Amino acid sequence: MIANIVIGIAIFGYAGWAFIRHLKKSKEGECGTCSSKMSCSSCSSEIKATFK
Amino acid sequence: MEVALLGNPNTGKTSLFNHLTGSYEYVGNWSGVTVEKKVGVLKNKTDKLIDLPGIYTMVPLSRDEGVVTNFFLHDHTDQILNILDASQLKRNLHLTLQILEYGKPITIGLNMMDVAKQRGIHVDVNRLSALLGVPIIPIVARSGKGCNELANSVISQNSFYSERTPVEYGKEIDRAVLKIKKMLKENKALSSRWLALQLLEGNQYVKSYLAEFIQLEEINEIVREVEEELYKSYGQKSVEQYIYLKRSEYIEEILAEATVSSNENKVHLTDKVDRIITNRILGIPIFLLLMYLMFMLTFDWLGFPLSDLLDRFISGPITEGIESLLSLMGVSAFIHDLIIDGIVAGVGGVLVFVPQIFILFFFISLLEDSGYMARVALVMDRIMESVGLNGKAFIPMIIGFGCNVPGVMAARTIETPKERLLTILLTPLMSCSARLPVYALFVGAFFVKNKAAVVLGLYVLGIVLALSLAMLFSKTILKGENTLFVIELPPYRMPQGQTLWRSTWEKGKGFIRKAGTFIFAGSVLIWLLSYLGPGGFNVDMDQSFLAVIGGIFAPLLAPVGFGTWQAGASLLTGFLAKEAIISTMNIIYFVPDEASLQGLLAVQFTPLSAISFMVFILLYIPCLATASTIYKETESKKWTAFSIGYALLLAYIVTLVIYQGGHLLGLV
Repeated sequence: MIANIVIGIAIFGYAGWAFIRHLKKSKEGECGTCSSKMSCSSCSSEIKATFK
Repeated sequence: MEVALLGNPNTGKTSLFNHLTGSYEYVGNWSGVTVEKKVGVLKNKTDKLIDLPGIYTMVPLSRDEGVVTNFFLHDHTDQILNILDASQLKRNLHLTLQILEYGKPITIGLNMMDVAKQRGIHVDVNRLSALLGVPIIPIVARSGKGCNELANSVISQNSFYSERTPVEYGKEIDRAVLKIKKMLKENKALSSRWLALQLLEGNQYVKSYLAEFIQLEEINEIVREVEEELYKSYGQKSVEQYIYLKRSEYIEEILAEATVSSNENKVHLTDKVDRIITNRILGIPIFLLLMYLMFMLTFDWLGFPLSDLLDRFISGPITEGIESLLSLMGVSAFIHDLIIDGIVAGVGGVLVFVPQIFILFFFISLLEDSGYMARVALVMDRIMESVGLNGKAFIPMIIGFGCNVPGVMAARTIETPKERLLTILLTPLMSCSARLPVYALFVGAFFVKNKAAVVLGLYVLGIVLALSLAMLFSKTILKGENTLFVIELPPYRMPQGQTLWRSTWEKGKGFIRKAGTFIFAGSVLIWLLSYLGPGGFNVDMDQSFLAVIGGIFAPLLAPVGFGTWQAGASLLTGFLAKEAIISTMNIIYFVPDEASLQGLLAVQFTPLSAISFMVFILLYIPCLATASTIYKETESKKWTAFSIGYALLLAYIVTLVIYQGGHLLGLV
């Protein structure tokens, strides 16, 4: 019974987190899907402003 | 300290960036790989290196070039690291002279010394360094040779800065520079000489910047005066042209002193190969043949056997292992089904295609690294021009074969708004790697003998439809002038093992990561929707919520050959990520392995409806990430909605023609 609860919580918890994260990242578009997001400052508002 | 990395397109900046920072950015040997600035930390862990898009001049033509000008106007940099192609110095030095005028310390990395040597060009590095007055370090960025010395030179601030400006432009220009200098006396942040010269060259970004300090009329007056004086003195109508000629003269002078060229008339191997590969008649058949070979390798020779092995491993030992572990733990039937019928089926069903995805990416990397992809753009130029675009627009489309998101972003290199928008709208028609598992599954079930030919047909259909729509849109909703296409063809190179592996891994790792994150989550959700229904828990799948949702679309899809709730549900999840289509199918038609799924599909689909389904998957909608990128790039809800709407309509019309037309012809 305990195993069922632990596994169930782990699976649904992780799935929920991964699903929401995917939706968030996809909506961010260009930067959200980029692997170098962490080391890249292109996503800063300053560089975005230059495109407007 | 912040160091800006700058150079002409395709001089190896990104390779050097990767060597100096130890990071990995996408490297391609065509121009336009870097469309925005990227920042990395140098290996000394304190100084930052900023990789900027490649430019020929600081006067921007396209949006990615504007990134560079804006960077120099508004951002801070302590030093500039200028990378030059030793085999193309005559052209590369134009940018160097503009950087010298900018007035920050410079170090030059002289790249492609090996290529220059092959072309019989000998560069006297010390002499060139003395003439320009800046330190120059010879490097080979692809192999990393000389990169450490270059890094040390930059870090130890050996870079040299002198007030000396090498090019003499004459008294007319000097007078204008002085005037602007006086007007700008309150603002010492940037070199007024650089600002003045850029203004006279017609740099609109600089003009807008100067307009913050000087009245626009005064600026225009200065430019007009210089124009008049130059015309009177030299008969020169364009200030821009005059400045260019002065720089060219200076470059000729220093190159005469610092370089020696031999065997100028020798025809190089690259030129000989190009005569065949870029031939007007042979170019496109060669491209198609290479794509066919790529698909033969992916689907027939290597990919399928490997996927089969992996499939047997996942459906055999792995599933059995999980089964025994679950029974050992004594879990309930719900948890057991969730893991085996949901997660293992959904995630495993996608993972079995990893070998094929990697083989495809390896082949694409091989074609890129060898220098062939740049030729493809050239080969396509004539066709692209006839439809209102040019060969440059084909580069984002090729990138789109990997993933549509970077493909849409790469459209920034295109100069005119009309051509850029057209390219953004049409790139999603390129078949990205996430659609590949669907093709693999269906060709394996219905077209065993012609797997590669059918997939090649789908890719070509995507290109042909993109070109046809380009023609339609450019004659109706997106009228405007066309631009000419100029591309620099890199020499052919023997691809290097390490570069190939890194490039393949970087492209393919996202697929594996997605399987472990979103596909995992999607599989849980899809399984849950198939487990629950209006009637309660553990319902028959045909009575589940998934069947209800998929059933809404089924009648609409019937005329195109796959009017089942299963197809409707799969297509719906495909909007979130195309890989999800395959995991949904695995869960819906829960079967132990890929071969059984193919057997089951053979009952649900016919060869004709399978073709129709694959074409629908190819065309029907950009995935959520691509649609969001289109919105970010166009900043228009209207065009984003249009990109989704036209794709849906196109998919429906094309598949209707295929399915109903096929029926009329007696196909099944």
